[in-house]
Amino acid sequence: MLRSLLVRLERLRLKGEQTVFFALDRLCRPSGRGAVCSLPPACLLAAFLIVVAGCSVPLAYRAHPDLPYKKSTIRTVGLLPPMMALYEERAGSTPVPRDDWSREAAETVFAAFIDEMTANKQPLVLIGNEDRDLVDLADLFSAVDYAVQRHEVLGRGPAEPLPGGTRPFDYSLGPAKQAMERHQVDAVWFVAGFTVLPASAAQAGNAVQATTGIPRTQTGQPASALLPARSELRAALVDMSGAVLFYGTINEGNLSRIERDSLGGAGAPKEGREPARSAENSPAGWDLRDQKTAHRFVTALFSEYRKAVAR
Amino acid sequence: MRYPVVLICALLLTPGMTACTSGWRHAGGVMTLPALSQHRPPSPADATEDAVKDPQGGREVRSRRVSLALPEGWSWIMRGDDLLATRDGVFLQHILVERIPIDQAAAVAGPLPPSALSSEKWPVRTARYARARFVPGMSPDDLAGFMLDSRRNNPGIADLEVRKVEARRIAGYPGFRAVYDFRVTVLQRGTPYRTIFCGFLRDGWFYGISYTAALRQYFNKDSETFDVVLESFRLSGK
Repeated sequence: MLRSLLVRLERLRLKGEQTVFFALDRLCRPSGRGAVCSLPPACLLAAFLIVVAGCSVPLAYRAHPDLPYKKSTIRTVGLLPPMMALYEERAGSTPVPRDDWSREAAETVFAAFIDEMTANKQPLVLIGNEDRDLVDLADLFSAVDYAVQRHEVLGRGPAEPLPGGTRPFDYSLGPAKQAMERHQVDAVWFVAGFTVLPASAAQAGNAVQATTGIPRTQTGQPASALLPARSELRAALVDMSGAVLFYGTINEGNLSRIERDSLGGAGAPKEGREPARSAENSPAGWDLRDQKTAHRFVTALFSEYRKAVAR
Repeated sequence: MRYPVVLICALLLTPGMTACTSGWRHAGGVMTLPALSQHRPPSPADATEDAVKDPQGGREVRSRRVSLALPEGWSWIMRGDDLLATRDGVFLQHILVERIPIDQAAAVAGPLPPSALSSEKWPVRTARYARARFVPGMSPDDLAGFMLDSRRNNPGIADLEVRKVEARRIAGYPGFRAVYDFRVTVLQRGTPYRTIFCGFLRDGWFYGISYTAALRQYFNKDSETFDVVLESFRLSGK
């Protein structure tokens, strides 16, 4: 069987005797014995490479192909109130949504964004929930957010990747020129996220032991945040045409890596803003109501954004 | 000694390969869905020419094969017995083809491939929340009412608003075309969706083909695509 496989593989050799599968070279030996002996290691190597490729570090973001170009046209950005969903995990039942916690986290993340933009000297316009057009955009972002999580190669890997390999990242919320012009912004950040906290630990400020199932809304349906993470922050930058230029997702699975990378790379945070590494294992390590945690997530997000722009 | 090595290779390759497959496939071109079959206990009342005796003493009622042409760039997956196709994601736009036996009490949700996790409750399936029963010879209006009733009973749907229901020939058979808007409770924020649902009864089976998309930005973009797909929708032999 192996020999017939080898013969078939041999036919795959390129014209001009260029070797495309090194193990086949030995097949040319008079005995042909070497090929059979060397095939298993070759197979092992191929299998190893495939497995390693499948386990390679996933991106924490996807970017529109035009982001580097369009970035130069963005001077002022708007920020909508983050859509945060915090859940209380109770033994033996699905996590229960906590509106009070969610509001608190939304305010903290909002403040962290403002701090980050201020530090980056990026003109920022805060937009409330009163603009109907932008609220509609935010509603649609919820669906796009879900689609990206399910189908794009991002974070821990998609649950349902659409075929075609890594497709160009091209999602749209529809034209938003008039709405953005009303607020005198060139683009808007849409932010969403979740945290699942155990009840007692959350009250005591200890979120470390939180384990998650799939968070569910009050109706018992899965919440939009579907990755099995304890805490996650997702954000998208959308321009006037409605194109999602950048989509990033930060969770406890990639936060440390991004922080490590950003310290040595081009996306390194500014002096004095080194992430509080010790916070990772602190009691409130993943609670997005916590200011330090929110800042870590937001800083990591912008670190990824800078990488995307620089690509 | 060779076999353990081959076995190790196979074991190593399996997870690597499965990581690359999700069940979604590219389409483009005409595709044919095989006939479905349903076992029914013997009943002289509804004996039809389509029923054949099966080895268990009952009758096996088979649907027709369905063929349709999906556009380039769309991906599809078989979700249970249903065909689900999308271009950007099921929450942005999708086309769903359902076949439900007229005795739909036996029609359970059907096995879902693991890759269709997001589809456990979405897109909605007509049979799942149907409270009424199909009746042979139902009028297109009643059929539309049956389908809309199923939507109203679905806890995953809110703010259902029926915009239009009309009789229409679908694939050459008398049926209906309904247009309705709704929101889904699955999403954190409820963006409005619009569905065009076309359905008809034929030989003891209900055939439905629908197009659903986010009303903003996505619905209009592909509604003409759906018209083309609907034009290509055909029933063939069993």
